[in-house]
Amino acid sequence: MAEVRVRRDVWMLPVGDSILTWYARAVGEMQRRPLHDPTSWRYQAAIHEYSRSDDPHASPTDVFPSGAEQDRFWNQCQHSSWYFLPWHRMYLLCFERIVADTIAKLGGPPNWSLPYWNYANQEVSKARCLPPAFVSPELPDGSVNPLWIKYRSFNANAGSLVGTPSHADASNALKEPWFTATTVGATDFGGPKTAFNHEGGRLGSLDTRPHGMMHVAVGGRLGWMSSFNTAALDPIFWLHHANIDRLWTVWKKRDPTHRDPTDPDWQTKRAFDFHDHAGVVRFTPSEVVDTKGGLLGYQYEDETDPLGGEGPQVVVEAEGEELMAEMVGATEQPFALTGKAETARVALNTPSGPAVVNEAAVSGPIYLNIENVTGSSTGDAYEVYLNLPPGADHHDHPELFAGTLPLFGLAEASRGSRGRSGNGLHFALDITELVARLAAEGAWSPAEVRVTFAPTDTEATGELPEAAGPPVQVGRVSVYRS
Amino acid sequence: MRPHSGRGILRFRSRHPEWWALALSALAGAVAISEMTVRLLPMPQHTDDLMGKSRMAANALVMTVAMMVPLVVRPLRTVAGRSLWRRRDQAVGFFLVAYLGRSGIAAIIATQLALGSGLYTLRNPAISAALCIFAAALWQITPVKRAALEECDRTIPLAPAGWAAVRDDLRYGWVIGESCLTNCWAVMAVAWLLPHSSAAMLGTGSILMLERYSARINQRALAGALSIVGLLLLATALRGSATGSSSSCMLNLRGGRGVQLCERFQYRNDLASKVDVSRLLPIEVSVRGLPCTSVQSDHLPFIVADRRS
Repeated sequence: MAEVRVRRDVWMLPVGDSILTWYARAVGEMQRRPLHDPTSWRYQAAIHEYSRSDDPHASPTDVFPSGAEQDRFWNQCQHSSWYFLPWHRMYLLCFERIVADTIAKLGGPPNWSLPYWNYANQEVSKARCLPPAFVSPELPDGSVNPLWIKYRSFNANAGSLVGTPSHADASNALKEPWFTATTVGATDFGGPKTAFNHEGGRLGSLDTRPHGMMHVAVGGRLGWMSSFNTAALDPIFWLHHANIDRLWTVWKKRDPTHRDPTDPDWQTKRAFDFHDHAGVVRFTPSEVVDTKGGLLGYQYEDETDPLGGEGPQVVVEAEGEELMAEMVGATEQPFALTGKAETARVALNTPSGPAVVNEAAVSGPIYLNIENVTGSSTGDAYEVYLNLPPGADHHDHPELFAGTLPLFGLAEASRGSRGRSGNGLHFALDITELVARLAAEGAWSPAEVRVTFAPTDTEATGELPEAAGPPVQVGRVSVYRS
Repeated sequence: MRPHSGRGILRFRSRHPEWWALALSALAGAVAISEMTVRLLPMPQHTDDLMGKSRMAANALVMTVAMMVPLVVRPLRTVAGRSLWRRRDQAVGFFLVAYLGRSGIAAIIATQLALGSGLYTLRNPAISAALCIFAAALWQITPVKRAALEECDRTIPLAPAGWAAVRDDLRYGWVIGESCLTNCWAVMAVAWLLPHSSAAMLGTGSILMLERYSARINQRALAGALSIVGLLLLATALRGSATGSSSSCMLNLRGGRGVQLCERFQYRNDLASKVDVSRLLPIEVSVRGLPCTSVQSDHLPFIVADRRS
């Protein structure tokens, strides 16, 4: 039986460990390879997304892969989809093989494994800081540090804490009972059932937070980590996604009812092509669900449940069946978010369908949906509060916090071209507990809910001028009841 | 406490709000297939008469409902899921009115243009169908078509109630209709050009369904396959024209008492759109009790036969 490699927590590496040293050397080597080389740094980033106009390394001497090769291997990243987790696992695996092969050729150790960045590690006070190896522009010998890039948020490159504890918190995602919800308006762990989805749409809870939030927290406004087409050029991207990949394992291990989709459409019907160090490889999601066996052969240093088994009582209609839901209210008109707090009022109707039937037996979940969020902004994020008193500062009412809207990839998801429909981003938030609390306090009206969007504190990016971001359009805010 | 079966129905309606639209589409498909074999709709006297044009328009509409509705299952679920429960069916209905209205108008215009330009009465319509397939193959790999395919899954904000909701449902159907037409006009044109060919209808329908719902579709491969089909069709048609060979044609003549009378006869390609079936006389040809001097074949859309010629 093949040896199972261990992906280590980057903040738990012992002093003198060479994992990041060799990572830096391999990254440097890959950055020197030409764009059309599948093992080059830029080619690997282009697999996620590539835009010539946004390519910071674009050169007139670039030689591009053929159109057919680009169609097959570039611009493939899956977000807002049940393929989000398996696709990124495949992506990381192939990248890891290329880096390990490069390290071996450079004379490094065999079987190098990608470390992960657990920014929510309670045992490390600096867990939300980028590791020192990523924040110094130069290596001790004075040469350029391949792991450093200029275009990050100020805090990220200052070695300070990135984002807030809430941004890094995976609790909501880990408590999700379903990998993919089939109920309209509902939240889930892994994202909605889609076809190949290199565009926007409803995000799964993990895709939203910590994934999206940490992208924009590291990238800031205009930083590389904030956009689909530049994110993978930042070496920290791979450690961030290793952590997201780890959380998938944690989610499955923390509750025996947490299962991957058994739908053949997910399991085997869609294959994805990649290059690893040896050539073209193809995976289906079913081939990457087990990290220790089969093709993958790795595990994470820490796969324990950070919540200690805590979780809500899942309300199900029958074995494996979610409660049905219905839309009970929505805003009438689209509106803009302009960088300051904005409040939308949603008139609520009396349920007349599934929620009426459900109410006879159980009180099901309530979801807030923020639909068709579009714009050209990058790196922004908003926090959502319910029934914030008029004129009140959201900072004074953390008890009314309902969730976050990271706008990672907003510009790309809003473009109606390059194989995208331009639907923008769609967020679903489970507000069941908050509504129950508000109702108990007499602060919930069955006729209307006020939804306040407050910008998260943004940070300047490197040496770029800080400017107010362009407005973000919200198509609709709606409430679904089960 | 509601009966368990009521919950089952509710769950079905919740998950498949598009069910009645698909049922409508299936009914239209049945009518279209039947029309290709048993002629349910009034038969034209001549291609340029009002009856002929009306019949072509009716055919085009039936075919549009049969072939275009199954392509919008996802938008139908979206429009239903984003509507208040009490008006979900209404929302689906308004969406369909705009979507099918736009598609239907395009289908009628296309068939009337083809009719007016004589495409249906060409010496061999298989040639024009083959050319249309080549156009579809080329269109398949253009960026505009690929973008349109993605835009078939667009969503737009929908107001929850009142006239604003009706307006948004109609607008959504119109928008999706535009994307779907841009995406599939070339393939659909093959079916419109061969309105009496069940093979053309099923073939084009399969292609459209495949590219909408297949987990992985290679547009270049699809374009290649279309090109091969076009080449085969063209080669067959040209060989027939060059040799002036005879082809077999099954005439489906419907008698006055509704009795199906079938005669196999030979026609030469150079006879084109006029075929003398006087040798079949004294069969009295009539449609729904009315004497008729025109018949149709499954090979040529219109074969006009005049007993007096």
